[in-house]
Formats: sequence, structure tokens, C-alpha cells
Amino acid sequence: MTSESKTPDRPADKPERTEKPEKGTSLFGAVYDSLASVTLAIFLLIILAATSIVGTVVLQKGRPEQYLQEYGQGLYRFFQFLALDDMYRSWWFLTILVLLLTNITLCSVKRFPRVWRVITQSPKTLDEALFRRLRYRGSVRRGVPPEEAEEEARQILASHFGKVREERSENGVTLYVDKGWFGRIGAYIVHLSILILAVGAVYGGIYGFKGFVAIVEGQTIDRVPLRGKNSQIKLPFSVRCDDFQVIYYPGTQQPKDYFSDLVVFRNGAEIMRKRIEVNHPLIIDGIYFYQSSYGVHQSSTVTLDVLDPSGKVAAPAVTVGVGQAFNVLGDPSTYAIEEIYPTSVGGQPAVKMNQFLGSGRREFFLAKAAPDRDNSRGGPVYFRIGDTAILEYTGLQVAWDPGVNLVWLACIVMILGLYVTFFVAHQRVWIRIDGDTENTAVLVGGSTNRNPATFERQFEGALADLKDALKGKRK
Amino acid sequence: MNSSALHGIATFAYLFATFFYVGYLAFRSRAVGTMATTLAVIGVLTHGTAKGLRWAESYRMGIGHAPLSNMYESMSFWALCIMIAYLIVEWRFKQKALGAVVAPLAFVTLAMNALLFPDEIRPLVPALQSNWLIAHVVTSFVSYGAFAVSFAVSVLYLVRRRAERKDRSGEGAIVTMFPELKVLDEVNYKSIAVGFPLLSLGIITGAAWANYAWGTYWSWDPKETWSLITWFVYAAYLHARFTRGWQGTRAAVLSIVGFVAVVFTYFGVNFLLSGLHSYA
Repeated sequence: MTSESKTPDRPADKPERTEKPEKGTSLFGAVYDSLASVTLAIFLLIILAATSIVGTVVLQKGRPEQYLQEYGQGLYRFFQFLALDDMYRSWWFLTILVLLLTNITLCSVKRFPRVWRVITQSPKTLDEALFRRLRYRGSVRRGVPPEEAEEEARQILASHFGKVREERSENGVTLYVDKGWFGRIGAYIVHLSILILAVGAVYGGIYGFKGFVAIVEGQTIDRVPLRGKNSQIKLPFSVRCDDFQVIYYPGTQQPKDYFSDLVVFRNGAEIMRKRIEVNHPLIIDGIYFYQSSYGVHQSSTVTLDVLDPSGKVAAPAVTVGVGQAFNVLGDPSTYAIEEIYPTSVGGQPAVKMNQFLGSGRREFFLAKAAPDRDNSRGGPVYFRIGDTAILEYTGLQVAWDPGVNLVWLACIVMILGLYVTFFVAHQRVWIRIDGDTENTAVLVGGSTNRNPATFERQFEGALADLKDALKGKRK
Repeated sequence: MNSSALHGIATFAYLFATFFYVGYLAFRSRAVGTMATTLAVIGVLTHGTAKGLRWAESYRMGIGHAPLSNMYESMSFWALCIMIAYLIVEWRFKQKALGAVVAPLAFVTLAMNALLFPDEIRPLVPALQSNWLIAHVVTSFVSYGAFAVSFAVSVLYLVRRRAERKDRSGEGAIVTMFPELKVLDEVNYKSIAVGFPLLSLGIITGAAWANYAWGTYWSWDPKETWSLITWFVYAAYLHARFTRGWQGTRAAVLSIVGFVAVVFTYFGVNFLLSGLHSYA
């Protein structure tokens, strides 16, 4: 990690801190320089952060009447003008995103060659000029033959830093270690991953689709209405829902799971059968079917027996669906079913009822498992659930996103890039050994682009070992 | 001993650790500092045990799941992450001043948790019954823990810098107990260097899970959007450190803004906005 407390050793190791224009004074050069600047990146990131807040506060993709009710005419017109009712797809938000992508690209294109030169043109020999520029350095002079010193140095370097390479010149031999060079390109890997992500997202957005379909138990569909559009897509197969079920945690009304039993047909032949639930979609031809919602189909009916307080039949039974008002002989009230619960108390159906009398409204519940409980409501008659013809539907999200694999690739590349950026240091150590048969001069120098404290410990440790080893050899 | 009792002990351990960390700054006593660290470690050990015990308790109830599934459980996990992140920093950098900001943060988080949210162990709603749960929550909250440390460091940075500017950093001043600006800046960067990749992982695991459960990896849900806002702010911080004029104070301010975004992503979205991510 870069540290401000210990400045890195060579100019090439420093992050770019100045943003002087390089392309002279031409307009193109000026525009290029500002588009490729880190300052622009900071501004764009802050602007994106700030503007993104709006869409979490203002309702997105609502219906006009929702906006009018909540914000009024004037504010709604203002929202429409700035496309704040769908801001993440608005021209101005997309413009900022495109600017950021341009900035990332140009900034990387501008800087990468320099970084690549630092990596590929790393010095192989330790000359005096390089030695003086290095932050970490030491020297040893001993009365031992260079060959012996070289052997010691090679072992110590290998045990402290890894693979040792060598370069011979008229100034003697330089042993060197050069590792973690990819730590320098981590940021560029992350930038690349963001470009891949953008390509995947745009590709999926253009060629993919998202829809929602409700299938009544027993029904087969092969068309899916698209979300937010007035069109539907024809599937290359058809899907039947055999059954839908909710199961509850024992003794509670809290759903434990929702299932739909789906069967897929192609050209009339069954090709797949799967019970889907939340977090376990059906995947066929890359098209995902997700358990999303459920409900009771409007054609469902419940037959209600009408009984007098003594439990005798008071009037003919009525068979009604949700919302159909009905009257019962001998009772001034009007009744209607508000909601049907296919599996309720005791795993049996229940309904929520409304009773209207004059301007008053009262809510009550009937459960098939408790047939005479409604008698306690008090009144000329009470109801008991008889036969039911309840059809449930399962609500499925249907999605096909051909860009999604690119998105996952981008994510993996991004994580690798971030890891390399923050946790891999480009460390280099050189040891030059020179001398005649009796005396040896050893120069040791080191450089790192981040985590100087760790490197310093390693470097000093290796240097101390080398001094000790050569001292032991002195004749 | 049950997990609730252990949570209570941990809460008080953090409270007393707070007193001792503040006392350490005020009295400059090594013994007081050692007590503070001891209390913090006791707090973390009890707290960790409480989490483990709660996990076991849920299995005994027949609704076994990792204790990361609602506001109570995630708040507790966050406080634990904050303290662990802090203790690592204390140990690596041999600096205790930070404890006076971080320990109260953990204490307040646990105390609020006890006051505001029921600690009853509930069965998992269907949407949370997934292997992604642990990966998503752990990466997100470890990053939040690291960001809490970077926030505390940034606060100390601004306080110390202000004192130095006004020449109030003489012999007896409390700010002289703070780490030097250079060290504060470095700890800030290192915390974010750990937090940022983890936040990215948290967002990515969340997106992967959303894709599997909801059919889309990104839907600009408020929780998603705010996590991205947080990501933008810390990305800005990281780039700021490479640009002259954006280092030091401005970077510290960005780090604080980033933490405000973290807190809003976590609480604000759930209590002020509505969306898909309604569990915690």
C-alpha cells in the first residue's frame, strides 16, 4: 500500500500527482487532458453519488396518478422535465456514466504505457546512479573472494525474497529479485473490469427481456408479457403449472416456502419438470423462471351454507366469488367476500367477509376448519364454508439476459484487480558483487511501490543476514 | 447462560472499555490503556460466543440459520466487526487513541439494538433461505466494520489537524495522544483498502443472489443504489489520494462522507425508504 509517511524511492514509483497538460495548448489536447484526468474521475464519482440519491427518494417508474397525488401538478411536470421519474435511464444520468467510462478509458490509456515501461524496463544491474536513487540500501566490504560472497548472497536473497536472477557486466555480477510486478497494474485491471461490466449491462439491456406471467394451476402458457411494455414475447416452448403451494412454519401464519410445480413442453413433448421455489428458479434455454408471487384466480368461488343460530339451514346456500355482493333471506345486511385464503387454519380454506348494513361496514372471517364459529358473530343467520372451487395462480418473473455472463466475468476480474491493487507490492532487490580474488564490495538496494514498512523489515533482515554470513567467512 | 445474557455482558464490556480508552487519553496512564484493551478483548470474546450460541439456539429450536437474518442479528454482527477491525488496527499500529471513538460506536450499536429491536429468534422468510446469505452479509458487514475504523481515524485526523493549525497541540494537549497525522492518514487508507474490496464483494454477492432470487442482478432498488453511492464515495477517496490538493483534509472528509453513506445504506434505507431489501 502506498504510504505518505515513507515516500517511495524512485520518481517512476510515484503515483502521478501532477496533471500538467502534455499535448500543448491545442483545444484537442486540452480536452483530452481534462477527460483523462484523475480530478475529473473524482468529480464524476462525487456527482454520481450525489445524483443517485434522487432516485431513492423520488418514486421511480410510477404511474402518473401516483405522482400527481404525492407531489402535485407543478412538481410532477418538473420531474418529467428532468426525467426524475426514471432517472437511472435518463439522458443526463447516462451521459454522466458515459463520461465516467470515457474518463476511465482515456486515463488508463494515458498512464498505462508509463507503468508498463517501469515494469518491463526495470534495471537488471545495480550501478552507482541507481544505488543512489534507491530508498533502501546498504553496502558491505569484506576480505572474501567474490565467488563465495555471491553464493551467500544468492542463498540469502532466495530465502528472503524468492526467485533470484543474475546479470553480469564489467562492474561485476548483479543478483536481483523482481516480484509482484502485476501489483502495479491492479488499477488498470479494475478499470478494464468496469468497461466489461458496462458492455455486459448494455448488451443484456438491448437483447434480453424481462417479463411477468401468472399461470393458473393446470394452465399452459407460451407467451410472456414484457415488463413496462405493451408487448409480449413468444417462448420457444410452453410451460404448464400443475400445482402451487404455500407451506407455513408449524403453528404460525408465517410462510416457510412457496412452490410451483412446472412442466415444460417443446413440440408437444415434455422436456422438463421442476418444482421451483424462492431462490430455486427453473432455467431452460438460458431463460429463468422465478417464483415471484401468488394469488387466487378471480374465477374462484366459495359455497356458503346459510344457517340459523340453532344450526339448521335457514336459506339456500350461495356460491360466490370475490367481490360479488349477495343478500340472504331474512337478513337486512348485504355480504361480499373480500379475500379467499386457499390454505389457512388447519390447512383448509378461509375467507375474509364484509358485511354492509346501512352506511356501516364490518369485517369478519370464516374458516372451514371451524365450521360453527361464525355463530358467535350474532345475527339472524351465520355462514359455514361448504364446497370450494379455488384456483390459485403462481406469479413468475421470466428473464433472459444474454449479457449476464459478461457481468459475472467483470465481477471476477474486478475482485482480482482490487486484490492485486491493494495487497500485491512490486518489490525489487538488487545485490551487486564486485572485487578481486581477495576482497569483495557488495552493494544492496531495494524498492517497493507499497507497504514500505513490511518491505523495510524484510530488506533489513536480509541485509543483516548477508553481513553476518560474510563476517563468518572472513579469513 | 443464553446468547441474550452474553450480548448484555458484551455491551457493558464495550461501555467500560469506552471509559478506559477515554481515561487513557486523559491520564496518559499505560495501566489504564491496558485495562481498556483487556475490556475490549473480553467484549469481543463474549460477543463472539453470544453469536455462536445464538446460532446453536436457532438449531435447537428447529429453525437453524446463521444469526445474520434481521436487524437485531446484523446490528450485533456489525458491532462485532467494528471491534475486531479496531483491535487489529490497535495491535498492528500500537495505537490506542482510536479506541475512544470506536468502543463507544460499538457500545451504542449494541445498546440501541437492545432497545429498538426484538431479540427473538425468528424462522427465515423464504427469500433469505439461500447459501448466498452468509457470503453476502459477512462481506458487507466486515467492510462496514473496516469503514467504521476509517471513520474514527478521519475524525481524529480532522481534530488533530485543526489543533495543529491553531497551535493548540502543545505538551499537555489531548491531541498529542492521537497518532500523528501521517499515521492517521495511513490507517485511514489501509482500512479503506480492506473495506473497499469487501464492499465490492458484498455488492457482487448481493447482485448474484438478486439475480437468482428476483431475476435481475440490478434493479436500482434503494438498498442497491445506496450501496453503490457508498462505493462511489470510497472510489472517489481512493482516487483523491493520487491527486495533489485532494490529500489530507479532503480525503478525511470524503472518508467521513463515505461512512455516513454506509450508515444510511444500512439504517436510512430501511427506516426512511421502501424497497425489496426489507430484512435488515
